[in-house]
Amino acid sequence: MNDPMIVTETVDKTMIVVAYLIYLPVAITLTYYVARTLFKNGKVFMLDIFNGRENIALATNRLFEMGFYLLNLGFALLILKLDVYDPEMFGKQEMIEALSKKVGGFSIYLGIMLFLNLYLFFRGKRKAKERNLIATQTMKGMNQPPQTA
Amino acid sequence: MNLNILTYAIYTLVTAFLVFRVGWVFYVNGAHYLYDIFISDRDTADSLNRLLLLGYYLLNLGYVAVSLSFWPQIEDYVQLIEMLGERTGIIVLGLGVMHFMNMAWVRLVKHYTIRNH
Repeated sequence: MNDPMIVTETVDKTMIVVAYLIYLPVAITLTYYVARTLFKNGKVFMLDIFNGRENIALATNRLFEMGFYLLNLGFALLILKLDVYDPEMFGKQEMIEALSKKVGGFSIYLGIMLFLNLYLFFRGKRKAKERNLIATQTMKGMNQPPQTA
Repeated sequence: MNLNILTYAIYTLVTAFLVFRVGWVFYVNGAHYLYDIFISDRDTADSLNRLLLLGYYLLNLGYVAVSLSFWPQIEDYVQLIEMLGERTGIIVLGLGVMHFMNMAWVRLVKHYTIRNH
């Protein structure tokens, strides 16, 4: 029994595999739905930010969507591993508890990422507005005669 | 059956697919950014875009190939799933971080080209 090879072969680890097989589809669908909703509605913001230049606005939207997928799916895969000290004691109850911790934590993370993206959208919109304001003011300034002291 | 070889096969297929797919999306959508920087010179923008794509493939597929030699011995299917998740997670997360750094870099370049013209 001192040989670790023999121990790992005799212990039944089916529940851990089941937990992974539940976690993965859940995490992937969750990311997919959040990304789809976020960037379907992100187009409006992007068109606003890029002053209606559709080419670059849609390209930026797509690039941000891709980055969102990469970051979140990468994080989901990275936290996949369950720390099970004793596979013998890993029954249905433990699996449900471990899964809820993982999925819940991941959805909180997704929510934070969603609000971060929303903040970026609003920030971009504000900056675009400021830029437009400065542009109109300089145009006005050029039309007016220079002020004398 | 040797589980390590199976894991290598799955890992290589999955990451190669991801790298090609993501690279293609970047190539198509990034072109608009390069056109924005090289306003009067579309040919330069196109060739630069192709070279960037090639460099991206070389770096990432090279990383995938090299990282195969740092895997531990895989004993069972639980470890297979865990290691696959961890390694794929690292490369996907790395791609995401690199992607946002590139976008910030393009913005910076554009900022300076506009200022100098």
